[in-house]
Amino acid sequence: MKIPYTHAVACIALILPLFATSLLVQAGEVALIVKTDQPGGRLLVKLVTEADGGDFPGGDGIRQRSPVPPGARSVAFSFPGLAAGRYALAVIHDLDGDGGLTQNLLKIPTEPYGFSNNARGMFGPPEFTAAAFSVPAEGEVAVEVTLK
Amino acid sequence: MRMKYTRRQILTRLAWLAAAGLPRPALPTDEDAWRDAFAAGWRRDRRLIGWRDVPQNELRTAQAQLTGRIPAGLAGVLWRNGPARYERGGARYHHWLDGDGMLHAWRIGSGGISHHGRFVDTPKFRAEERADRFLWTAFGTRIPDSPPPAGPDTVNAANISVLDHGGELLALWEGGSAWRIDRDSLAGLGPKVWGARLAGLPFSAHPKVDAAGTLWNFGYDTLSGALVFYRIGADGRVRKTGVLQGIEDLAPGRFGMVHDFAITRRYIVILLTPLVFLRERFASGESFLDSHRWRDDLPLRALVLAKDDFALLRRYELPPAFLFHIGNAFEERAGIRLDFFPSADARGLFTVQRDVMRGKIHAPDPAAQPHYAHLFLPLTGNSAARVEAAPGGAAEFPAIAPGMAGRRNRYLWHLASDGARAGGVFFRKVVRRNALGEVVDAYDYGRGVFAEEHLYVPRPQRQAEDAGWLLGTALDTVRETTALHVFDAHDLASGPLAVATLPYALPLGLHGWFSAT
Repeated sequence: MKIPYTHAVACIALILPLFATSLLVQAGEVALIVKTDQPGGRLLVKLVTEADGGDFPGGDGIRQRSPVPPGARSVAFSFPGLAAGRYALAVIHDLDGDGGLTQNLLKIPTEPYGFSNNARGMFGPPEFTAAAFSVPAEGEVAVEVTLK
Repeated sequence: MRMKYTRRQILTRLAWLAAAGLPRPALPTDEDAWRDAFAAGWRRDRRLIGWRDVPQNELRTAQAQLTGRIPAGLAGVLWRNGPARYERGGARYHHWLDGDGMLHAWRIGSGGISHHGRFVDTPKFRAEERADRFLWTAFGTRIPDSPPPAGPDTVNAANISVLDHGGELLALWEGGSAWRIDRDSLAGLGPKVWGARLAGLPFSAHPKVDAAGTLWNFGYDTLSGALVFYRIGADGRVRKTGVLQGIEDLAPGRFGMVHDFAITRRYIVILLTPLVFLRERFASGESFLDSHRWRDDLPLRALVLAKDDFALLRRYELPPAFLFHIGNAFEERAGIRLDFFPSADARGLFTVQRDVMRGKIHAPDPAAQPHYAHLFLPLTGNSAARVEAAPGGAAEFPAIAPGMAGRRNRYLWHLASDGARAGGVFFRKVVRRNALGEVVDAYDYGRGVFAEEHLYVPRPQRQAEDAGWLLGTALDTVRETTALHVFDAHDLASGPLAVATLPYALPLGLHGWFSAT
């Protein structure tokens, strides 16, 4: 049987609050605040699990993006429904809208970027372990990343 | 009366402040020891005025005290740059080249000569100004708790030189971007981005402008060992860039700190000293300078590249030597002739230029002093490259006529010491050499005066080298004043035609640029 689209949405909207309560008690959540000095553009955020941390900040992860509203100096993100474990965040301020971190001829980043723990590498991005933080089985972890 | 605390009370108070996350009060640290040593040295030896901190963010003199006459036809601005902010929050930098750049405008007109100095408003300067302390490890000073910089421009001190090209005034460092400057207010306008994928690249402090007005420059990225090359039109637009990287014996750890270069009609010449960069030391938080080691078992290398496509054509090995500056280079029948200012090693950089910051001026040391020398790089046959030292004492800060870069020059001006009696790496004479490299003219500022770089300014409507003036500043450590001197460039011995003296002394600066109006 084919359920009409609007009907399905209405059902989910009705059912979701019932599940949401249980999600909150059964999973961890990351509440991220990204701070940036530069106006405009958009923020590209990637949350990486320890299992995928080998080629951090490359590789797989949960991705989110958000424009930087006019006048805003910080943007909030939420990653709900996480299993307990070690995670790390990588954030790019995509000023030129090319979907990635712009670099010059010598591969020096020319857009602001940052990582959880505000970790910085000396000759490139930090290791996963330097940026890693724990998400518990239940409850919210507040993370702040300042882009530079 | 000020309250005195016991040691225990202080410690308790500090612990409380730390817990509250408040700024810690200044403690007697190594940094303060340098400040105190300098202050003590300054009471003994007034020559140290050349390395005093400039606490004001701007300095102005509407009318410098003028003696003599400004020659008719000489009008414009002598821009100069150099380190000047050496102390913050009780701490003092450990190296001459650490200080934030202060840009100076000496405006010369028929009505007289004015001076305006202002610190280059870089993100580093601004952040440290707000914090009232040094935040980042500098060229030669390790700052505790310094965060790793996001890139070279995080610690850009914009303190080496200045360039006026394509309608833009730029303060130059060498590890990162050139910094745009408003020529009236001297306000900082941000990093110069030459084009796509060129943001934040190193842009060295000794660009060469050829007779056609094309600007050539390089940049050396120490961390990756890459050399970047630029060809920029007279309009300020980039025409071509290139990167030289990944050559086996040119990897990081094989050379370091390339300050100057040369062009000829068809070629670019790069000299690579065996002052090698050690990444592990730098990664451990050591200062940039102390991440380098002098390797007298490695040669001084010369590279010749094609100007049209930046391809590496030839490499040469020479006995180890250190250098900052090249006078000029040009092509001869069988090769490239170049004059430069080598020293036996880099101890001037490691000791002489460091110890002045803790109140010690070294006695002249022939091994540490740069001198004038010729280099020949054969382009045909099997003959070896060779270096020939020319007679004369310590010498530095060369100048040639504008447009002569890469062409056979008849004259070269530079600073010199007075034989064995004075010098160190500081100079009280200015001299002119002829095409044979002989000193044919000289002026001695006398005891207690440090001459700074002197630049050649051609007379309007005359062939560049035929008639012109030599403009340079000098610090009189006895009178505690800095003055601009204007010479007939072809008759230094007669002394300056005009002297414009400020009511204050400026710290010893580095390089400048003259913009005619």
